[in-house]
Amino acid sequence: MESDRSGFERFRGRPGLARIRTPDAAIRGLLNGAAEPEDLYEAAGRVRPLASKPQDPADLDRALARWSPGKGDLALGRAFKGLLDSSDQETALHAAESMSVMEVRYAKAIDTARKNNNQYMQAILYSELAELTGVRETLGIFYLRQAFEALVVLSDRKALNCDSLKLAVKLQLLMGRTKTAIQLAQKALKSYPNDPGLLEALADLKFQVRDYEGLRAVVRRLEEVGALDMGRLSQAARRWL
Amino acid sequence: MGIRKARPWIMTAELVAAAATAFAWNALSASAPGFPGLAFLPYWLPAVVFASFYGPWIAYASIGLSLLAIAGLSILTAGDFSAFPIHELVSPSAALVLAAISALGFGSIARKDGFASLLQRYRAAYKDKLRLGRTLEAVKIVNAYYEKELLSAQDALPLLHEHLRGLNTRSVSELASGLLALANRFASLRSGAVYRYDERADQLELVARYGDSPAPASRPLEGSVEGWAFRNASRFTLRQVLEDPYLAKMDDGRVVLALPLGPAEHSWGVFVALDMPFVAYTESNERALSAILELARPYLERAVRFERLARESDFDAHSGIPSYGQFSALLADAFSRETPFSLILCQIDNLRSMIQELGPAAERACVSSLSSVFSGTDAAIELCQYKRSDQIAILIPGLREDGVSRMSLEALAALQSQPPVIADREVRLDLRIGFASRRAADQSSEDMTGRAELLIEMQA
Repeated sequence: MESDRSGFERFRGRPGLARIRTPDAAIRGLLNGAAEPEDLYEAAGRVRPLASKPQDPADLDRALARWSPGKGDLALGRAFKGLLDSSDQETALHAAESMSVMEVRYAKAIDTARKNNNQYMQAILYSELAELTGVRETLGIFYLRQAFEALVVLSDRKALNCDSLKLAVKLQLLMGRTKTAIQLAQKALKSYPNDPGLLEALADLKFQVRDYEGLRAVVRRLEEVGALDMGRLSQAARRWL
Repeated sequence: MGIRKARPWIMTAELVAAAATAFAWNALSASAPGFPGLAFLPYWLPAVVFASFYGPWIAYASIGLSLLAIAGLSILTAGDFSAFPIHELVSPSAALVLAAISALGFGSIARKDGFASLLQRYRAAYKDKLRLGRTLEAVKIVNAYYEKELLSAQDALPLLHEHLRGLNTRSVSELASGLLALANRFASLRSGAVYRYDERADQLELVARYGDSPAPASRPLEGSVEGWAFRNASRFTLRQVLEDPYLAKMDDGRVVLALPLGPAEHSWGVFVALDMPFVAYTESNERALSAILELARPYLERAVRFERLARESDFDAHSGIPSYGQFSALLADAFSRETPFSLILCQIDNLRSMIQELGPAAERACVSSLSSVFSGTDAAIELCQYKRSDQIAILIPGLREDGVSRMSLEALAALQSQPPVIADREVRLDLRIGFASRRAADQSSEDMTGRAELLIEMQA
């Protein structure tokens, strides 16, 4: 019997009772005395990246159940997009339906943001849609335009804050307008001279156009504001000091 | 104040409340004070409860307090304690005896492991559950974070293994494209290209590209950073441009990284990173990219080897022209397109004797002379080996029956008037020519080759 085996031995052989599928269920089971710590380790060990093939439709469905738009989480959308070309028709259909569900959620979120007069959230949602669809596709370009127009409304209202300026720089970059992105970043830095996010964005732009002196100046500025204490940015920036 | 510290106060309050209940009961039962009949219950029940939780002595204290409350009431009402039927309290009253025995009994239960320890265990379990619940809430939050990170990971190690397995292809261009996609995922490459060294042109030729950055179709070995990386089998990194004026001169602002591909002693080509985010341009990322290319090296060597073998089997080793297998494929393709074309078969009867006399180079020389004779036309001819080593097939697109017969006669005349020179000797080719053009009635290409072969047989 399964209960006779202790520890991880329970997972050898055929499972008697239904196995706990997710770490979240294992934690709830632990709380109610219906699971052991080994169930949590086993469930956690089975979590795989969504991009890992072959993709388990049940894993994707679970992820879709927990997903909501506007959080910058594009991995699930990309996973479904990758399955659209599957040779198995059922898988491709399932992926298409799931993408449709995501689009509906985006539409609802955009509608809510519009009703709440939240242009920033609208811009975020449209930019995510553009990245998911592909910024070179016709629909992607449309979404980018919508995102840009939402930020223009904010600008007219003089309500652009640091985050919305960073988003504006990102949109320019997605549209392929590097020079405009640089101008916008430099203008934003006049209002927020110490923001590490803006400085990092400008450093990336200077790196792209190979403006080494400009890049070094930005990196020095990053060091002054204490943004180079640790992390990946620190590693990249110190190469230029 | 904690529960533990407040317990004595709670107990005292409970005792006072029990006494107050007895006081109130007596006040309401002025006609029958004390313990007559069922009136003893307000005194007995609290005592039993106290005995269960706190032991027999507290139960007696509860009975004592209740008695004091009753006595107090008699003083308040009658003005005199002696008016209180005290004898009823002290006489062997069944109710009082029952209360005393119950207190003892229930107190004994409270002392033993049964009830009190059950309560203790219950309290401990409840506390543990509260504590566990708080801990698991924290675990839940941490789990949610790491699960999200893992689910959306694009560069986890298992993914690297999957992508490396995907490089197991026989096509060099497919492998190169796969390598660029891998670099995009694991080294944040936005644009890149793979070049291979072309020995004949002595330059680097583009095999595959990725992303939006421009990648020229070829790069010279001298004067380009790609060529420098290939010639020196060394890594080029953008940062070197600021330190090395020689590299700075070669740099055209496109290349971020250039890494040689293949073994150090014999580089096959160059992997070029054209665009990556600023935060990805780190030494550790460069090392990661080098490690990925090193892991992909066996797959690249296999694909290159396979490509070479395929090319060799496509060409006849002696004559240097496409093999019979290639000819069959070309013929089938031409036939399927349903456009007019013609076929000429040449059989060189004295080829073997020429090779014996003049050496293996004679074969190539013969093919070369045939090729030059037929290449004189405007048609894009395909010269291939036919079934036997002394047979050559020529495919001429767009040529019909009358054109092919004229071309064959002109070729024969040209070869006779200007015989080929092999090893400084004029050589007469003992040539038989058969030809055929595509007809509407032809069911397959064999119908055409059959007609051409028949013509050759007829000249024997």
